[in-house]
Amino acid sequence: MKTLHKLAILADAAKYDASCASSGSIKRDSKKGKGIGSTSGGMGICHSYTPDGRCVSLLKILLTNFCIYDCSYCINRSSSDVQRARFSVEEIVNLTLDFYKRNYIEGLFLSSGIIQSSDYTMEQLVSVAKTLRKTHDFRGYIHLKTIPDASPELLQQAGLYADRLSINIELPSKKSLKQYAPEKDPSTIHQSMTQLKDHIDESKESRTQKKSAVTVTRRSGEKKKSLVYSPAGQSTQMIVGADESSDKKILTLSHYLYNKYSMRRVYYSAFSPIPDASAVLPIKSPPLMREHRLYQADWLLRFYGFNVNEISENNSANDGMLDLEIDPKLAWAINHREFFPVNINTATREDLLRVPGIGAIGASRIIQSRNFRRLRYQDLKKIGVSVSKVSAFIETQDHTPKQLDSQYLRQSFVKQENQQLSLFN
Amino acid sequence: MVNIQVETYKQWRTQARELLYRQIPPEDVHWQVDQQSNLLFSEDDTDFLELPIKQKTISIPKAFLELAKPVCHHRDNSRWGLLYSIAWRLVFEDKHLLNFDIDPQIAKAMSMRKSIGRDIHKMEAFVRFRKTPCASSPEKDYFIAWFEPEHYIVPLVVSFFTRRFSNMHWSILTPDRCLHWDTKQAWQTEGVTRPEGLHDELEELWKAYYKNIFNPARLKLKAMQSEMPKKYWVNLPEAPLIGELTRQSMFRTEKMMTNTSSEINNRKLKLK
Repeated sequence: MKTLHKLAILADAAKYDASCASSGSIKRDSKKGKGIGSTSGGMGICHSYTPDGRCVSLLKILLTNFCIYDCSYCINRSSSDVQRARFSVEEIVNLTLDFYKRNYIEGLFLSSGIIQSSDYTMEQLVSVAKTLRKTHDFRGYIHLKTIPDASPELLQQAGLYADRLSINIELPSKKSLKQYAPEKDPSTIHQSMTQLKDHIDESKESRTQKKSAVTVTRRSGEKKKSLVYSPAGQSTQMIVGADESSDKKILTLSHYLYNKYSMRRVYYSAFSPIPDASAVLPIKSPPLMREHRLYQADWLLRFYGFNVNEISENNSANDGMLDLEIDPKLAWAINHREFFPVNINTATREDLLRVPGIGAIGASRIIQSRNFRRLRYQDLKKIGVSVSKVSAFIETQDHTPKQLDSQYLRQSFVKQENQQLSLFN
Repeated sequence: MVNIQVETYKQWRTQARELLYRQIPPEDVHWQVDQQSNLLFSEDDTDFLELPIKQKTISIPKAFLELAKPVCHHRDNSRWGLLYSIAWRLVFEDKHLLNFDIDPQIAKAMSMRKSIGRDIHKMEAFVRFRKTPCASSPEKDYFIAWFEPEHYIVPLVVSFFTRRFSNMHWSILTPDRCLHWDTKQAWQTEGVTRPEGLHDELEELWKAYYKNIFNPARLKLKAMQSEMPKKYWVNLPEAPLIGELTRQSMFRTEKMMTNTSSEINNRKLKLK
């Protein structure tokens, strides 16, 4: 089979993994090296966007879509009649380098179906990363999907070459996992996440101690002054809408994953129809709006000081599901009108962040600008705050919210939001 | 009226400093954009450097220079005057002016800086190199890209591309300026017109990847276009696929939804 044909199959097989991020690694470049590649140390770069609005940052492919497991939700499960292919280590290495040299990508995101055994598969994945780093001195981004029940030695090695490692938690509950992915063992997943966390922490510590000694080339273990292990941390993915788990359940698990394993990201992947789908799972359009709301809620958990209960408490009538019509911060505000109006000129940063329509940047700008003069309502627009959204919740000398007590408040926002969405879709 | 022509940040800074020494207010300065307007004014032009220096030292916040540097690369011809006006106000009116981002001039400069930042980011993302045989040494690969940035940002992307592609020979050609790298040194030359006949067979693999990483069940065209506006499409080898992928997506999704699963079909067969 030609590389072109394999690439078509193994990219198609990889697209249900939501992550394509190339962010959060350490800064490096190829100026003193023999190869190519650099990372910014912060933000990644999206080199293209597909018509589904998704960023193309990495060459995201599977080593192979042959798989001995039979997970119901997966396009590559053993019982699917999908066409199979397998790349050699060399083919992936060359594709990565060739794509990188044209500036198509930031690097590689490699995953695989399980062939022969977990260890055998993991060895192949590690070998790709190792060849890129050692033989070709590749200094771009590498994300390896880790096989959870691979041996600790292999997990240990993987992090020496990868910028990021991830193990998918797959489904929000152990029960669902047992039902739909019977060969996967939740306790192994958690054990491996723990191991990754320990290595990542150890490496971070060694880097802070030897900050000056960190250089790109010291990725190997031998003469190390400081250990670089998966510098962009670990992430995971949960499939949303394949099982019955509520949003509250999902967010509770996310919260746990962020705290317990210091996850950099939890990705939510709306369960999408696949060719030759399994009969045990629903065949319907992917719940994209639900996925979108979960990302918003996830953001509130991580950066806005909200907790899971606040986000899902008022939805007990909905069995712990987020409001699909309005975003979770707005939903909270509408149910906590006693908290408002927030005074733009006196409120703390924390309180500003609770106002729908004021983000982290907006809050900082408000705080900076009000040092120099009292802000009027119209000033907000100049700072870049969306006035239509905040007007119901804030006060300034020349503005008092009128609709705050209105029973139609939610409704008026639903209308606004629908207009925005029709623009968006 | 003082007429001044500058082309770079450094030139602007030198001139602005001399103007401030002489306390020449912004409304008395005309910042010319090209040689032609120079002809119009040259008759009654006075060399302002002959005017007396009124103030020997001026202090300007470092943050302003950090703002001015990128803004100088903006394509808007009003940039030089705007920056001088802000500099004037910082020196003679309010040294804290920069913190006040609802001021119309500050807001404008900030938004110009933002637009430059975005342009740089998009250039770093959307430049596409094509491999061509090197005329002088055929055993070496040479990579050429054609790109049309919105602003005069080529000098601002030197570090990114040289750090990343250090061990490759390449040129990035643009209508304003071209950037070259020979694994040791970078240099710039004048802009060129779009080169013809650049072709790289690897683009077939890239297009195959683009086609297959797209999930038709998640079509969101507006989201794609807001991040990858149409003006960039002309230089992206994958962009011609967008129309076809979009048209097919409904059909492909429906096909998946009407589940002709082998599992179910097999079951049906068994029942028969």
